[in-house]
Amino acid sequence: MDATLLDAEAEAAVLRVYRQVFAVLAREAGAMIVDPDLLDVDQAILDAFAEAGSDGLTVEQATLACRAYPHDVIVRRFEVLRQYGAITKLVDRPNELRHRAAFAPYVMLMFLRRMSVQGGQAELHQLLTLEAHSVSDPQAVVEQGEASIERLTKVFRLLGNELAILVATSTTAQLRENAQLAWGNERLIEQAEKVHRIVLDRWPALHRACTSLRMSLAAYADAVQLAAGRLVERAGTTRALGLLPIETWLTFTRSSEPEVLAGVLDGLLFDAAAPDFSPQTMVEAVETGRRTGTARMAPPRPTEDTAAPESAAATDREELRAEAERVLAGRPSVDIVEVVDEAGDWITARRVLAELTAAHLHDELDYELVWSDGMRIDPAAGTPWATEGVFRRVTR
Amino acid sequence: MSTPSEAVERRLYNALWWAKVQSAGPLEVPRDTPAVALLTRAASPDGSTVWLVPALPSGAGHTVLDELGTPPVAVEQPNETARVLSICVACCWTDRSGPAWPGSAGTLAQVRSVYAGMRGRPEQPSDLTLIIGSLRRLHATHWLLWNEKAGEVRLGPRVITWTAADQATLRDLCRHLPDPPPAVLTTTPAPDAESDSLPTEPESPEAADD
Amino acid sequence: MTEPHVLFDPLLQDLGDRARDEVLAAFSAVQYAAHPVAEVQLAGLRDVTLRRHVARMLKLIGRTLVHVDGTHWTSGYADDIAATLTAQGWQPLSVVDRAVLVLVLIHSVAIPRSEGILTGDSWKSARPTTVDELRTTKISGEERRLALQRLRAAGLIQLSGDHSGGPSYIPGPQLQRLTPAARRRLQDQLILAAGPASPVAEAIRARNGATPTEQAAERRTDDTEGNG
Repeated sequence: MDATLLDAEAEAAVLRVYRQVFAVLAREAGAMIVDPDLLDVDQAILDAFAEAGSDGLTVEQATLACRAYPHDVIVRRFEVLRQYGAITKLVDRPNELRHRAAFAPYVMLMFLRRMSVQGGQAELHQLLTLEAHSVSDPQAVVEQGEASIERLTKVFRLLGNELAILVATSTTAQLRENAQLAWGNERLIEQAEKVHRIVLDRWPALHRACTSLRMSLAAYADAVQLAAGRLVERAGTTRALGLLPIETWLTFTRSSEPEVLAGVLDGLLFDAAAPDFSPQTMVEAVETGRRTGTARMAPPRPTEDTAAPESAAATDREELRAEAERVLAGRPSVDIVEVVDEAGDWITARRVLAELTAAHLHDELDYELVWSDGMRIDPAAGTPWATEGVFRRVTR
Repeated sequence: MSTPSEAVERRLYNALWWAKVQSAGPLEVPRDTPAVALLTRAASPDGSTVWLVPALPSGAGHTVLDELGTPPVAVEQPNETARVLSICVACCWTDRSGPAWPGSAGTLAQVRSVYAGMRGRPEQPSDLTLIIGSLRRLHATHWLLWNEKAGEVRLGPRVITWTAADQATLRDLCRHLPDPPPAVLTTTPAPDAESDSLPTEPESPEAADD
Repeated sequence: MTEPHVLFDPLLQDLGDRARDEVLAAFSAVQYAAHPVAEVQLAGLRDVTLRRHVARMLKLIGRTLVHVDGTHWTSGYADDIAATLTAQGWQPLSVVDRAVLVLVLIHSVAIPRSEGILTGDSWKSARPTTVDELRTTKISGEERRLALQRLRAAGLIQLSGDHSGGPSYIPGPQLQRLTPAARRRLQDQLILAAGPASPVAEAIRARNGATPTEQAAERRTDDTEGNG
């Protein structure tokens, strides 16, 4: 149930961004895409044109290239793309069957895909970089500076308004869903302030426009703070984690010293491993470990349930099997030298080899380890000396 | 006859020690550390320190888990580990007329020999890795005190929780294992030298295992 | 010298044999079972009076009952005991072990939360952390391998069922032993460490009633103590 619900939610979020972006393109209500799958179809069609080269494609060739999708769906989307001018006849004459595709719709599609993942934050960053770039241009004139400031004022007003209205009217769940509006906001604000600074330095006369930008930035920052406060208050004990963008987590894991990572667990205590080895377990383990089953010991407690040692043996077996399968990675056999090099250092390699040997020796596992006479010598390798051989699956 | 505040203080003292033992495993403390309720004291061979080991009333240990079908955290290579512990009992519990703790020092050579004997075949190259892995696991959980540098092993403080019946079972188990060859110790066998040879043992809990 | 059972005797002596057995069974189950135990499975958890006895036994050893998903129980450190010990610098888990555990928690829990693909409000997750994802840090391969082994042995992480890209890990059952306050503390500290300048971190500091400088100072002291 959860999976379907999540899928539906994710789809709805994608669609929301598409609708918003297409709203400025649609000629009239209802002329918009309402199914995200159709965008996959559009992309498949445009991909096919890219592959086709300068000869273009006929409708038939396009449907053939997109045969992963139903024929009638491709034909319909082809028609829509043609009506909007995304696809045009190669040469404009009545009998022309071949078509070519424009590049702009594809670029738009790429932007949409990115925005549907990030909610437009990355694009906004890029926009701000471009604005800073254009107002810094020595050729720029005061009108360009003013236009830039006005654009940014409006973007941040819209952002701030949307968030403030969400905080005031929506449930915590809705707010959380739109949390990307609050993501990375300091960077956005910093970038906008940079544009503001450049413009004000260059054209002091634009101080009124600049004041408007400062106000819209402040309103956005307030809305962000309110939203974050409300979310944290209602986020329970782990949900607030979702309020940081993924990049923040990745940067933290990549750039932090072990001490800083470990510091996250300050104030928390965990249980040490404390396995129990009852004498019965020990007796049974020794019993199953004997190769020659002749000198069987009398079980110390004949009434004892024997399920436990069997499951322990099964765990051993399954761990060996998992390790063997990991090493084989779907192949029927693997060279030992490769296994050794893959392991990196000799201590790791030795452990892996020990487990492969144990898998080879295990009565219930169908693997074998066969050594050959050769030896690989490579001073640059983690383990310079490696005996050649193969580890493989066998049928017993 | 204690005042209420003394009782509260003692209760906190117990609770804190229990939390320490649960988060770090059995702890070696100076002999004059006051008793903690339900933590058994296992005096080190030279008597200068004691180990605090959890002990629970019967009916309140791991045994209940089997009946409930709610297993404890799985041990890696559980059978190999249990075998190596058995072998160490055979090597270190030399005077079986008395209790298993503290026993005497055994050697890696003894363990390897008994292991191959148990398997009923000559030693194989993979044996050593399995044995060392098990020794480390048992050392980390205080079933054994394994000195990797010296290649010497002693029983760990957890064995103090074995009851008389448990020890009877284990005596029997030792008889069914091949006899270990005589121990050739690299460190002096005098018990007081033993504690020095284990510099990484937790007084400071930070030095878990390696 | 204290007598062996004197700790629990005052709690257990009023109970009949059967009730005593049930309390002890429930105590053992929440203490030693790897995973939380279903309430319906044990009279000592189902019955409120008996459960109170279990809770009192746990309190004597610095533990408390933790309710999981409304249907299961386990035990964890009582908040005051954990606070007292860690304030004294008690932290048996080594720096490397803690760092690796935190990496698994970020990849398996925090990132999926940011992607909006985790439901519920716990540190449970089925999203595996691969060895490659753990490789991005300043911890050597051998150190990491040993840390993973120790964390697995303690039930702090477990192997995920997905072996397609080599072994991978998910948070282990022990994370469920965290009390609500400990769970929140972990969440807050993770956010404050990873995104100290984010609005969420600001909101957390505001809720905890500390200024950023106080909080930073507190973190620094914790660090020194934790590593000492």
